[in-house]
Amino acid sequence: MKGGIRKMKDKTGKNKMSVEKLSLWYNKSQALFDVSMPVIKNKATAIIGPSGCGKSTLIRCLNRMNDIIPLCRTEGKVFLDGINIYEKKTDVVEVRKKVGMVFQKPNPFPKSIYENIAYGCRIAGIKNKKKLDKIVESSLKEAFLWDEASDRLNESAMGLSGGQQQRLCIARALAINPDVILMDEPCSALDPIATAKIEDLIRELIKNYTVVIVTHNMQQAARVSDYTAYMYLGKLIEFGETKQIFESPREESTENYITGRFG
Amino acid sequence: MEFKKIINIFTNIFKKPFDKDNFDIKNILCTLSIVFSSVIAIIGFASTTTGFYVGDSFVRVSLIVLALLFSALIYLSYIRINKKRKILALIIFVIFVFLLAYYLPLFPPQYELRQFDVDASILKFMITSIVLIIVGVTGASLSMKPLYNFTSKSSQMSAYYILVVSILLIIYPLMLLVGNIIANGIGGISWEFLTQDIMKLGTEGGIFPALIGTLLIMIGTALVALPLGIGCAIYLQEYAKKGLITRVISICVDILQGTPSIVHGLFGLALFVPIFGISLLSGVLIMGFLTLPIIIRASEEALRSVPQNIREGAYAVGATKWQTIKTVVLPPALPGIITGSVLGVGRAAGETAPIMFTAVYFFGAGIPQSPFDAIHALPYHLLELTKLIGYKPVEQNAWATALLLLSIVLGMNAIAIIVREKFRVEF
Amino acid sequence: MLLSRNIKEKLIENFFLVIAASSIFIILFIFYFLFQGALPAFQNLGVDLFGTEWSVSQGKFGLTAAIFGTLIVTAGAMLIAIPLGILGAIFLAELAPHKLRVILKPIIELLAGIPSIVYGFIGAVLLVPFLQPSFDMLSGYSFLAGSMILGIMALPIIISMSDEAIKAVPRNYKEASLAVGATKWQTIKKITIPSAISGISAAVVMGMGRAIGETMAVSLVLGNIMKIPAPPFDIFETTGTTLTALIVHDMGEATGIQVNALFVAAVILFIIVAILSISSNILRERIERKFKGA
Repeated sequence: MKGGIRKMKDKTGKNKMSVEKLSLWYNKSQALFDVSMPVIKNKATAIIGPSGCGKSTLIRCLNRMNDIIPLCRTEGKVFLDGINIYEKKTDVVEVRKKVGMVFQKPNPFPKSIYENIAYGCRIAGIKNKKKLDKIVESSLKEAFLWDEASDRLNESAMGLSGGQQQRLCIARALAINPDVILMDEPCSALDPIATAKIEDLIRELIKNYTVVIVTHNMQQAARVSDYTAYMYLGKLIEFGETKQIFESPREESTENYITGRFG
Repeated sequence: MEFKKIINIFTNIFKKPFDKDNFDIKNILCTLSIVFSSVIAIIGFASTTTGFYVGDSFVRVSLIVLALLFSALIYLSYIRINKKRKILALIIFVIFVFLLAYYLPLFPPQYELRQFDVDASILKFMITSIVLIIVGVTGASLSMKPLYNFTSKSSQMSAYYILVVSILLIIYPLMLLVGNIIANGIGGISWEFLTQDIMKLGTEGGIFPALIGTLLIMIGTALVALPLGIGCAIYLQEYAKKGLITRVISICVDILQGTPSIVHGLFGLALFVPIFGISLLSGVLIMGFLTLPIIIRASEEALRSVPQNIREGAYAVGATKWQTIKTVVLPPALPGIITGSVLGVGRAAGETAPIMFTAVYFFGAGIPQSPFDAIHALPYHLLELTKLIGYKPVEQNAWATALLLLSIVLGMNAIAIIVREKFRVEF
Repeated sequence: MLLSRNIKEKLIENFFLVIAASSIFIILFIFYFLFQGALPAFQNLGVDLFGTEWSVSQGKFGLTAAIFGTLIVTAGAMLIAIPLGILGAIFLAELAPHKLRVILKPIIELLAGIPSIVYGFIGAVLLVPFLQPSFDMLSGYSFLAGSMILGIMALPIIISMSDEAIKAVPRNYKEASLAVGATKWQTIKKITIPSAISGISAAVVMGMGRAIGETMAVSLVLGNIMKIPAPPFDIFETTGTTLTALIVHDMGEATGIQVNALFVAAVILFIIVAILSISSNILRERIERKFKGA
């Protein structure tokens, strides 16, 4: 899409995205086994499970970030607004503009705070300074960073603290107006105070966006999400409303993980 | 390791004997022998460079005193430590030193090698100096052992002593070289020298054409090597999948890097000279090929130092591969790339062999009017002057040329290092 | 629009591929032209190329003396450069306090940057006149001088590459050793150096490559007479030349088959150095595998 970025209309009702029988291989070893799950619009979905269960792999499929990894092969479908993003004719660049991502280790560009956020817009062709200013300001406000950053927009982003950098990365993702925001263990490199800020942020974000968050911290999942998916050894064991998963899990494996018997 | 720590270690060696509760004659003797041995080594070293012979009696006396010191150390150690075997090295050393004290001054002033059909002889002062150096360093290093009671710490201190000595040995020739060039060359550098034409085979006049030639080569090399080199690095680092092609390219780059400059020269002679003649163009092309691997390796390093994390951040906001490279990967890699380029061009300035057959004439070449003209160059000029030394009074000019060339090349290196340190992006 | 963007990206990728492939072409060209230059000599002189006599007037072009010369001078250079280089690298990497390292490392890099003609000049003007009276030689031009100069030239390469190799040893290896009560030196001797040995070997191989291929410095301090040296005492002799010095010395006035013979010398050099470079490459790959796999 040239020029403006606009929100896509929700064509298929409540499921913003859905994963259908997705399997993935890193070279010869299989990492995901026939995973199917929905991503409900305007809600936060958490993916939990012990180390190595495939949660990061799964979330990276949602914006085809696994494409960069050599020798990575997928089978199955991932739908965004009713369209399979893994179809050959899909423009992966457009997919990533609608499905944004925040990474485990904050990765701001070695540029100024302003330029970090404006980056995605410039890539998409927006050059008008006034427009960019507005987008930068609104993104920073949405990410709870405006108060701390408004007076140093032209300073290097590398000078921010870890928690601020992560919120900057969230603002950067928000700047291109995506529909879905993926978060791959966004708080694992942050201290508790910064973590709390981001958790509050997530609860605010779902008013306008759909959020999927991978976390190894069960309490965080319980605090922050509406739906939870529990994965183990590459398989989706159970999916449901967070309350249900944590209070009355259906599967024994789920219960064992939740109660801390392993993991 | 902190500077303070090292200074501490060395002052401890000297403090040890005077430590009130540790007042120990053994420690005094050890410190004494370390100092004495070091002095012997230094005297030997000074003697090699000045050609001055310290004298038979000095050699005898100093070696005997050293041997006596060590004997005392051996005795003290013997009565104190359990594992007597550890003293073995010291005992052998003492015997050896006693023998040397007797035989070394007996060495004839000139030990003729002519019996072996060789037109040389080893002079006494050389042999003595070298032996003194070895004895001194060994003695100091061995003295560490009793000082630390033959524990593993003592081996450490011995080893450290040797390491410091080796670093000094390395810095010495550099200081000698650079110092001499500066001292002898500075007198010849003047405005006239830099701007006048070469006259009378270089015995008079200046080196202007050579200076221009070298500058032209530097610019030309940059024009050839930078686009090719940076492009190759971008492909290898950002686009290529690890496979046969990358392996082959990498090996080719390595071979190119190791190829002697004279081979490049002959290659240029075979390929470019028939086409372009002996010209600036031929020289620049060859020099570009020579510099290529340096730029490729440096650019690869620089690109590699940008974490994968950052690239993924750009992809995640919908950037294409080329957009990512252009706007997010290249900018922080730029200082590293510039460093490599400056180093490469600096090297090009100093190379002689590649341009010897492809671009320079000693006689007749002036300021080139076109890329197809032959040129002068500083390194080649220095070569010719060196060949004339002894036949014509070119010393002053030769030193000055060397100084100028060295300044240009080292200046470029210094710029490269400064760029690297100042503009480095920390991730 | 998707299509045009894809095409554009593909074009850019292929553009860089072509540039990268150019390095392969250059090597192939070098091979081709060197062999083309050398071929007539192979055809006309055959095995005589490896004979022991080199006499332009008689049409004899035996390279053995030069090959021997290269070997001797390189061996001598390595004798100086390897111990000093490795010891220096150990000092720099393990012993030197940070402030000292920050001063020394640029100094070593500076040493590496000195042009070879400057080394040759200093060699001819300082070293040769020094050696002559010191050893009472007929003339200071000798393999001894050549080895000393080459040794100093190979030193910085060996030091910096070995330093990198030692620094690359992961910290946890060293920490594990110290944790069982070893001293720093014991750790260096038993853990760090063995782990870095591939990198140090690669450094030595590169240093050797530099010594073998060095032209200007060596040609100005040798006697440049083609006679097969008989070690060990011939290092004091004025006779001697290396493959590189031979080419530089004779190429100016050479004609006819002599030119081709000189090309043969270049081919020999090229092959030797190519083998050394590939070995160095393989050694460095081995390090990567060792530490990545662990």
